[in-house]
Amino acid sequence: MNGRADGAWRIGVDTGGTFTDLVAVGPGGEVRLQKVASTPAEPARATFDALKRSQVDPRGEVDSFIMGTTIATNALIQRRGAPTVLITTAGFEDVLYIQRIDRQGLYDLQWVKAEPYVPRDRVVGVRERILADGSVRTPLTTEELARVADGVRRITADHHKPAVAVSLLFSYVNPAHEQAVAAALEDALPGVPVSISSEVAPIWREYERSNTTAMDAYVKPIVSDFAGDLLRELDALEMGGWHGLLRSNGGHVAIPDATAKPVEIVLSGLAAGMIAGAHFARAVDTAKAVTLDMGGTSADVGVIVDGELQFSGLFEVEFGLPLALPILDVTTIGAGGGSIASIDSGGLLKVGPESAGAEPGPACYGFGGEAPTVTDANVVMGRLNPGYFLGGRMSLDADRARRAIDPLADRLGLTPEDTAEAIVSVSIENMDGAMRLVTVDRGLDYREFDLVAYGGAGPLHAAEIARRMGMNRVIVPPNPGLVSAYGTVIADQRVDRRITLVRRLDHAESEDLPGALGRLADETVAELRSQLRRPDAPVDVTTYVACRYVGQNYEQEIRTEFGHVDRSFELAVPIGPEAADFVARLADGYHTTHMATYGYEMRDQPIQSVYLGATALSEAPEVLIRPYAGGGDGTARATRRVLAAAGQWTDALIANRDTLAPAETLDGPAVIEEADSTTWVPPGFRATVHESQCLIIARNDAEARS
Amino acid sequence: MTATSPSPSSPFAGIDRVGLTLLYKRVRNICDEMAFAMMRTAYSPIFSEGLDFSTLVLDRRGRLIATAGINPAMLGASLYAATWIIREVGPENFADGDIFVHNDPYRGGSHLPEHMMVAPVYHDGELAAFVGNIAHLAEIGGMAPGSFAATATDIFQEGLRIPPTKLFDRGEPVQDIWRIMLANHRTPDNSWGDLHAMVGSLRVGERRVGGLIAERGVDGLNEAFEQILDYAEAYMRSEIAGLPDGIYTGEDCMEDDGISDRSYWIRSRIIVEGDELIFDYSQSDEQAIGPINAPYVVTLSASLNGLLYVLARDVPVNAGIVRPVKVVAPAGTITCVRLPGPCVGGQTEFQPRIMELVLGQILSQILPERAAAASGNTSLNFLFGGVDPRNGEYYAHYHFEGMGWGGRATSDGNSAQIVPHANCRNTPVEIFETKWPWVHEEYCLNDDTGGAGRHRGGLGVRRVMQVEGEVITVSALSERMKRSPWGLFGGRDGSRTALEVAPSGSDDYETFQDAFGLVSPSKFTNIRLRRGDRVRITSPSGGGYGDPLDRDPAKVLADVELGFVSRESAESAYGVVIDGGAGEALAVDEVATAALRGSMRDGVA
Repeated sequence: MNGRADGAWRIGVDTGGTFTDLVAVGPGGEVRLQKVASTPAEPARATFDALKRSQVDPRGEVDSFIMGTTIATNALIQRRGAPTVLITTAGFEDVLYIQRIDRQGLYDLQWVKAEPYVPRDRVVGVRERILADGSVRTPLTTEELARVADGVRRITADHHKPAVAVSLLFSYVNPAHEQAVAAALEDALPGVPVSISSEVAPIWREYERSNTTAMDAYVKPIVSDFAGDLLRELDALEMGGWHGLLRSNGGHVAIPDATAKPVEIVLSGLAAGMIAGAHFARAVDTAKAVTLDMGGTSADVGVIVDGELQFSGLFEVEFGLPLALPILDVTTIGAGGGSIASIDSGGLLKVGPESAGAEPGPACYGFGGEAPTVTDANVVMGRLNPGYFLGGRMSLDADRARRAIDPLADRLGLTPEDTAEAIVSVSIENMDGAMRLVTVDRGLDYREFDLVAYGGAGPLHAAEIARRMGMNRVIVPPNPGLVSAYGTVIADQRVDRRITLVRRLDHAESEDLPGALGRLADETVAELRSQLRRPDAPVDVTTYVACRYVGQNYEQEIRTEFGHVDRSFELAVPIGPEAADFVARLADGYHTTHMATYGYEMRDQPIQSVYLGATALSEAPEVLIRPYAGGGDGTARATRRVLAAAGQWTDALIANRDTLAPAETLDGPAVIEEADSTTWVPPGFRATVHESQCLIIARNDAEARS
Repeated sequence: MTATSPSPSSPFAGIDRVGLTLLYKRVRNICDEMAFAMMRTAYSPIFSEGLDFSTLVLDRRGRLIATAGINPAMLGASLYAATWIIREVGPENFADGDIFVHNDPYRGGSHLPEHMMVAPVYHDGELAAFVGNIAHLAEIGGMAPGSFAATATDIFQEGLRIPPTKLFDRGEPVQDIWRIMLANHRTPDNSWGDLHAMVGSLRVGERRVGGLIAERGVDGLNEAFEQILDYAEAYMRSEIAGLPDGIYTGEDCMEDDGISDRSYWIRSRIIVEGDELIFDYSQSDEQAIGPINAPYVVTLSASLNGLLYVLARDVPVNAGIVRPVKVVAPAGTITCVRLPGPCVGGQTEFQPRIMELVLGQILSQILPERAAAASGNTSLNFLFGGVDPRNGEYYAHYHFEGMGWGGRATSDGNSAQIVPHANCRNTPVEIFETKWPWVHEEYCLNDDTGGAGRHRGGLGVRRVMQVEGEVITVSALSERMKRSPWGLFGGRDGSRTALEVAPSGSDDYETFQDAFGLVSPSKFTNIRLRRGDRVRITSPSGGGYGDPLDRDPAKVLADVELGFVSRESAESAYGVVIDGGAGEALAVDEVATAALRGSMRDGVA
């Protein structure tokens, strides 16, 4: 760590679909929290509203102001992006329509394939061709460039704020043609943003690369406008310090720089929660954890290994619309407090994926929702306190919750209470399944993992999930409902780059691997340096090579630990001179990893590299937070009747989290309430308050690790 | 764990339904975990890109309890993958750590390329359950590279036939078997890697099922499995009971069998009676000489898949769903081939045909609001192999195409979509050309071909590629070259498949049939192409749904603007007259359209 900030305010904002959260950490570790309703039409308004209410003086000592935003995500989901032109290799104009030819449901005749972001009449084919080895088969002529520029001009003339995406075959091997097209367009159409696939996502599989590039162009104008508005507002407030946006990779970037490759901020909002989850996992010294951010409509699941968040190369905005970039590896499942329970035609209970959302919301909200939801079930079970939702700012209607559940109870032949228990159980099983897949897909044994649970609904279900999966402990961070905003406060600066380079490790062609990796590392560090808020800050770079056995089609990333750079000096990658050793060690690393993941290795089988990656990181200064006051006298405790399991009503201890002091313990059944979340401690479990202020929940018989 | 109270109207009285849901989900999750392990480690793009495989959890009697939703075409074989081993080898000869492999369509398999692997799971020496998987190996020997011999006349030409055989004995590989198998495959390294991916997936399944056994005990788990089967049965019965009783008939044909020009008819009667249903194919033609025949499991699979499309999508797919269903397919007909008849194409060509026959029959006659016109309905198998000039290594590949799906009650058919009885993905051009010596000129939608209708049929694709190796040996096994995908309720037919070739230096494409003097345009083996030759593969488009004259002119206009439909077709097929062009925005000429549609309607009447 680099030592703490100088006591100035560090402000983090998370703009979600329902709420905009603000966390500001100031001098002496003072924390200010705000939760206000989001203003989707003008996303910046809720942010500045929250800022105003927090009473942090923008003209005072402000160290940083960093936002996680769903502006790009929403533009993609709601199809509000720019009129975009796509340029492809001639003959392959339909790449966005053909996609991968599979479908979402096996037996759904009515399923409709995802509509591309670029309609067909805005696709222009260019006569050129590069082959798999990078050689040019059909050269790109200047006449052709002129013709294409003309075509693009004709299309964009009719549109307001257009954007262009260029994705040519095999550009990840040889980007020359894409670069030539981009240069021609910049001359012919000054001011129209151009995204080229060899820069946005230089990876193979033309559909995934083209779609990612199209998405980048599609959100560019909207993100630029948003960034412009934000900067103007900040200017008007005369706010000092660093102003950043969070990227999908969990690092933040200066607001103007974010507009260069806006597709990199698509998962900005999700990333915020995950980096905070990882932070709290480290705070309680757990190296392996699953993060669960469960809100009203969905739950986001991430994985922490060796104390670090994991990355993925693919995310689907909806089925068939992939985003192929190194992004924080998060899996979103349709399970939240608002998930609706129903009976399928076979007579079995089903929960989700339909959700009551925020509107009309669960029946107990009294906003007109009538369908029984997971939140309603928790109210009927007594686990949620109808009088203390959002710290008492909103009251829940327990009668409505019960009335919503009654019809299901009749059909199942159960009491309403047991039906509520069943709804929660099925919902937990849904999450259990998804979380097993998230871990197993990555070759990880979830039984060795802790569960870090946050979001409004996470702490209510986490202990039951952990029990069912046989996971270790549950960790509930302080202010679980504001964890995402906190994540933006503590985010690092980070740049990830990836290039495809297919080389057989047993052939001479692999000689250029270390050099290419070194150049990639240099470029990655240079990109980060150009964006650093503190130009002299130390930069750490990590490199990796994704490998597979020749013949396999999926690869695993092998960290080239020997490629680490001492964070204290100028960029350089000390792997060039030992090329032979490099390849041998890489091969060995791959065999070992394959063995660990899949239970076998094939030492006599040749290996090939598929892509190289580099991550440059500049760590944020540590944040100090003043601890809760902690009453600790137990007087504020009460008891309430709670359904602990089907048919088992018991008296549960009710405690307000603000009154808990470090090292204090609570034995389940217990309910720990705070303004933005509720934690359920089942019978047989014990909650311990950690010095980091996290709650650690473990089985009574389990040996407490700390 | 949950109180139950008997309810006289419920078929589930006395069953802990919540517990059952939870258990079934867990078993499904195990199948998914097994599938991931397989996908990530496989060698063939048809596993890893195409996802042409399935994973299974079965009870101790070998009955299918759950399967991952990967390739429904394998449903029939999934029901027999373990039971056949039990029957032929006998459980007394199983041991902990064994893995069996088999692929024989005369023993419960679909066709030879699909290998079934099954491992018994033991608990304290007691047989507790099975885990299994089924996967299409890209090359298993036989008369043509890619093991999809369209001109085979018996099964022995189709590749290496393996009866239930131990591949692992008490955890140790049986080296003799591995050596025999690999010696008979053209690309043994690939097979070796794919078979290991299958083994790895089984090991994942064993561990997870072991966890279930530890919780519930062998008997407890198997009793719960029984309830899952009962539940699926009850579910199917209640769905079937919702269909009106009656006999529904239909027929369709396989165009030819690769050996002669003769077509073979499938005649189907579906008898719905109360909560049971019979598929009767006994009036179908006798089995073909060429490989378009179906073994029984393929006919079973097709019938069930058609039914599952019709009925609820949530039913747990397991051995329970078969109980209220009978499939009558007499041996010696095209619907149940007799030894030694060839049948490699039954799985990819016959199965979708019969599935859509079932769908078309039931849905259009009973539930038109859920019906769809015919899809392109061929897997369009295109096989090739040779020596890659870039590295001197032998390769072989099994390639298939997406096509147009039929228009349906609610919307146009999807374009470029895999055949409906499977759910595989295409191989990206960039992976294709990196792996095999072809260069593509084109991979695009085939414009102006979707069957006209109130809801238009989806478009097929066109792929043009040039040979880069010295010689590539190609084969094909396809359909829909002589008969078009049918339209429904007044919708027009979709367009047909085409397989064409142009010699090096020429732009004149001829059909393979004309160029090489073949019996069948869609089914041939071992055609040797040389460097510079080009192949053009055109996949069929879907049929239209409803009268094209009822299509909203605005939708026709949008199709014209996007190039899916030509202006000529807009007039001739839809009666929509479009103005503009040449710099002017396109627009519907309302008056001319009304007049044209009026005269077209009169003409029809």
